[in-house]
Amino acid sequence: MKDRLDKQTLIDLDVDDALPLEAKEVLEAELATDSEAAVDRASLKMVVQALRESEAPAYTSESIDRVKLAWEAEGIELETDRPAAPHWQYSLPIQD
Amino acid sequence: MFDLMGDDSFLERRYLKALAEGDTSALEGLHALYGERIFRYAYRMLGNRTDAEDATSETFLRVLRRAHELKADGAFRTWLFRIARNLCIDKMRQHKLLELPPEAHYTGTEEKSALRVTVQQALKDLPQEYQDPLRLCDLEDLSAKEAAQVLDISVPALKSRLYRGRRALRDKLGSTLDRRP
Repeated sequence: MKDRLDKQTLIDLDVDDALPLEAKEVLEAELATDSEAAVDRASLKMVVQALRESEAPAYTSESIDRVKLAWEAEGIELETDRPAAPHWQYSLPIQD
Repeated sequence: MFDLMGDDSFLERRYLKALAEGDTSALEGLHALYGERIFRYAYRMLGNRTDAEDATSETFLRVLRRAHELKADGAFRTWLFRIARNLCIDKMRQHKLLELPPEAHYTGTEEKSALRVTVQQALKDLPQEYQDPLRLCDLEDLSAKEAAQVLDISVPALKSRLYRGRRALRDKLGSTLDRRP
């Protein structure tokens, strides 16, 4: 039981990419003879991969506009409403 | 005014300082740094765009309201996620948003889209204490330490929930994983 728990901990750390190389080698040797644990690791890796592949919803320009409108409704002055930034105001004159 | 350097922590310090000095326009700079991540996190928790926009907007308004207390000591990002999470939980309680709404569809092949919806639904079905670490670590790519700070728990507790959550999600997904495209 204890051996199984220890192996599970190693698998969790490995799935998390948090296992030192030496311990990883020990785990690999263990998994070569323990098909149940090997399946455990493979399926957990698939879960993490499936989560990471879960596409992020897009933060569209319409959404950004609505967020900023909500701020403006609270009386917040945004930079886009301000005069041009100094590096534009004081740009060097174009030379002939 | 603020977007001249590429280093996020440098920018974060400048924006927070400007906000503390009363320059509300710096909020836009902080939003440029973190707005998309907060929106994405809120959308994944709430499952619809309108509520995610509200939560994003309110998260940054809270930054503004507490501008004098905030310090650019590396904890700002985790504080931001914590605020967003609390707002999302409040909204979920208010609206009882338990179902994945129809608009939560994603682009890609039919099989991949189906898997994504299945994964998101399975995630939503997990206890909240498992959902949080999975969202923060596996979806938003926060470190275990950062995620622990967001959730106000220890790193070992975070890791324990993360590992149990992955196993619980795997059990919920069952054979779906074997049919991954």
